[in-house]
Amino acid sequence: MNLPLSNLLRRWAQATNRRVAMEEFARAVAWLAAGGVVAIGFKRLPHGLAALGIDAPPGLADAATRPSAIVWIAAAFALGVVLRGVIRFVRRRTAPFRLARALDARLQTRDLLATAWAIEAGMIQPDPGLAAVVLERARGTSSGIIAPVAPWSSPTRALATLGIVAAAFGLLPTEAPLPELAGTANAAETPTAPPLPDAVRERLARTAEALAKLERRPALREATRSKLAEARAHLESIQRDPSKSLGALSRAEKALRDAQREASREGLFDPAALGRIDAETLAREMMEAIERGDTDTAAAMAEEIARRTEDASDADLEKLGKAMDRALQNTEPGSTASREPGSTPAGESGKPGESGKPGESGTPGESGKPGESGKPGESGTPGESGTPGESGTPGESGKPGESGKPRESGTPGESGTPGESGKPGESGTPGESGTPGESGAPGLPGESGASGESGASGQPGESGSAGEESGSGGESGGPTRGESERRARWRNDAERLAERLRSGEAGGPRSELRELAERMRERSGSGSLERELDRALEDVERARSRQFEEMNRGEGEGEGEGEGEGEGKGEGEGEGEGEGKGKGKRPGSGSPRAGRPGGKPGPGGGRGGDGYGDVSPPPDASRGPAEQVDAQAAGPMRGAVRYIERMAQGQRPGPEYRDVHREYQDIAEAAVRREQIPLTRRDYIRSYFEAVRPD
Amino acid sequence: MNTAIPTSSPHGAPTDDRIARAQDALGALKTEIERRLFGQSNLVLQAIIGLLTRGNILIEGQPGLGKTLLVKVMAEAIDLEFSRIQFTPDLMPADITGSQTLMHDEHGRARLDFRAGPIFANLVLADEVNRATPKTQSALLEAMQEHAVTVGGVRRALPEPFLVAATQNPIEMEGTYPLPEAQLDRFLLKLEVPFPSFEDLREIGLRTTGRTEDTTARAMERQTMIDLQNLVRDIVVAPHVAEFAASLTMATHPEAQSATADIKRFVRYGASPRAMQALILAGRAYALLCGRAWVAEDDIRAVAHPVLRHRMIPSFDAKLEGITNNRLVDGLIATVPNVRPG
Repeated sequence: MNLPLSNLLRRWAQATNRRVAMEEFARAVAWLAAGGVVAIGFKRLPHGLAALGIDAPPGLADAATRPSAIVWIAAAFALGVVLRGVIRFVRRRTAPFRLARALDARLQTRDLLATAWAIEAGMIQPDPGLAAVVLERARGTSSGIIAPVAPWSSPTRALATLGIVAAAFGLLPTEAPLPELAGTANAAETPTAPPLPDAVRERLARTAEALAKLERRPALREATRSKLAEARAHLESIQRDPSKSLGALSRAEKALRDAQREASREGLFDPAALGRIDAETLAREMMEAIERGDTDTAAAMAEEIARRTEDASDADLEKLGKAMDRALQNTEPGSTASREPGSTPAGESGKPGESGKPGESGTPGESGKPGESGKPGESGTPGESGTPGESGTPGESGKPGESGKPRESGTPGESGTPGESGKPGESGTPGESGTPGESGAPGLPGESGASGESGASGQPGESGSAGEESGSGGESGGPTRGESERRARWRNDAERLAERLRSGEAGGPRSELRELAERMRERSGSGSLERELDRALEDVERARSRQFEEMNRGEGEGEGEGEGEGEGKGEGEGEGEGEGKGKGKRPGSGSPRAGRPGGKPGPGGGRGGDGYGDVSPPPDASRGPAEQVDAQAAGPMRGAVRYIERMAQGQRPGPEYRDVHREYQDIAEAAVRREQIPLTRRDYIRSYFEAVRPD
Repeated sequence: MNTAIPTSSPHGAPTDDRIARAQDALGALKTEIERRLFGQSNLVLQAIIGLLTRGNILIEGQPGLGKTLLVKVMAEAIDLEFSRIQFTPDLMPADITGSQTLMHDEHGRARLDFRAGPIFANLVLADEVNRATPKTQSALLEAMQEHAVTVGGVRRALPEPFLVAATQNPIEMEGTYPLPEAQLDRFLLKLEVPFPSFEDLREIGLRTTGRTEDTTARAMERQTMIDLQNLVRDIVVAPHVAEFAASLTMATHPEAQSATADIKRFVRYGASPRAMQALILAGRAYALLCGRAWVAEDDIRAVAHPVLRHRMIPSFDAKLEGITNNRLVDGLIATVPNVRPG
């Protein structure tokens, strides 16, 4: 071999690089092919799922957005594969010297070729004699090298993936073979789901307004506020472009769920922001929140006032007390000024018939003897599927009011729920006053559902309970009697506390404020943030699922009718609500047990239990005042040991420790200097003080 | 035994023969020393590396393991002038370097004559060097560094080849003066004498307790050793090998980016640039001993322990946890990667 070693190595390196480039190209092609198969498979997946009788998830079923999503994902994937190939090539490509190192390692020639290459490249000028020895040896070695280029390494993983993906792809049906899917396919080509009905849009508009109000609540956590704003923006976008309602609803729902999750994890309010609110505003916000049933806000404000009483001077306490006084004076009991817009009186908002056309076909009213049909709550969501507004004559058939003696047997506290929703009210003979359209509950299924609950008792009073239901409408419209009483009680508590604060008392009012905050938090009033958030989420969910059903159903008419037949639903609820609303004069008088509410109050009715009497759990007598533990009971440690221990526990060294260290080190150093310490131990001692030096 | 190594010709055309003959000569020397110092093959190899590099060696081991014998046998095998200095606390510098003495000539005139001390030898054994005071140690260390001593204002060169082999005992440290780090750095290698295995111990018993006293045969001429010392300096070192030695040295510093977690925790100060020089020089000698005209990264690894073990100053944590420098060097060798230029 007469060629200089460097030429030989250069030639081998080029051959190796060509081989590496081919390998990486093959690997990238295999991955790209696998990605292409996945993309096509993804496009065909809904058909595959349909063939298996599985409903495609909403995101996947969105035929309008799916193709563009596929294109974007495929582009990103392709870019990633190409980049990866380039990076791999750059890493694997070799240079002559690097190849020499690799060959040295393979042939165990102990850097012979690399050293010879360095000599030939003029990187070193060794003794000529020894350089000749090295070069001669290297040439001898290189002449025996048969295959300097690494063997072809096929992209087995990429090819295996391609095979698996292709096999899976083969199992998916093609796009158009299923006749029953043709309609869906056509529908998928249409831009989006049908536009939302006006009524639903109006409701969503109101929900957006409610969210806007929520956003303005003081001291709300920033994350929650931004999620609410995001949800509101999506809802507002529906008003501008109803054709994209489905996507907007999904995003709004997600944002609201995030807000809920955030609130349950971190709480609704930001303690720092609360701390920045001045006393006047704090007191005013608390009282207004009490009046509008926003127990979350009221509790947070009360808690903050309690916190401020800690270490407060007499003047501060007096200021707080006066602020509360003024807030009490400026806030009228039961005033609706602060009521949330989302909770307009039932009569206005309730247009139960809006959503349901099926109700027309349904004749539930006739058949509907409330007792029989009256489990609307269970069958659920009457507002959506259909309703009764028009057909709602059930009131006639059920004159429950007459027979209903629900409350005689009732004991409010136990069943809990009925309190709010199911107070049948003797007077609530729904038929009399109720034109459902007017008084109908806003259509939140839960609210009406509650009435069903009471209906479940299957006694004449049931229909009366339906009337009660309307009472539940009161949730959205105005406070129930129980709630009013509760608010009045809280006002009284606040008045008393204000007086005590003014007189400079801190400890008692503080614990009472905290108890009050706790009670309010447990109560979850109708205007509470939590409830408002639930309500908004529920509205959005319903609208979205309705849209989704509409889209999947194509025109949706045929199906709509079929469902509308649902007897129980239409009748029970529609009527019950309508009537009760208008009439329910004595909702509070119903004795809960009569309703045998049996639970399932439904979402809106929920919480009951205190609907009538205040069944808030009595304060736990055993609890007593909070126990205080004095962490310093044993008294502080004294002297140097204390500082050394603190340091040993990982605390930052303070000036005391520095003094101790300096003093001890001086003593040790003096001993070392006096040669009292063996020579071999002196270094240990110095090292020790070095190791425990404060900085 | 003619093992003279030819120097390079004016045309610079030594062949493999030069390396091969060096390898033969060194092999014979090693065999002869091992015959007397049984079971310490690695120690003998490292001592020869010290000799080839003109470095000084520090030998540490428990009493009775053959530290003194090693140096004595080396001197006998190469026909070197040997002297031994037993270091004690009352040893004075003049006891090592020699002094000027007032003498009277035949005419009765007084004059100062220089009486050379034991340092004037080719191979000096400084036994238990840590028992002398720092002042006396300094006198020795100056001679080690300069290969010369200055007495009475006159600088006197020491004979070549010159090598100091100092021994110290790791136990019985009471009343000793451990060598400061700066002075430790002047020893090219620190050799540790391990306890022999059971079989070796038995063999030592059989060989050394007979009636006849074993003698050392001459295995190499003094001039040959000087030639070999020159040849070592010519052994080819490629840039990537030097880079590896530098990386290894750099990695001993706790503040270096390439330092391992162990080094950061257990080392207070890393090795000096002199350590890097020692790595390459010892690597050259090791390559020659292996019969190669060039140094490989593996040669640097092979000599890393004796070169680095006394040059890293352990932290207090290392002392507390009983972490030895040998273990740290093991970690370095395992973690510092081969040089991989683009």
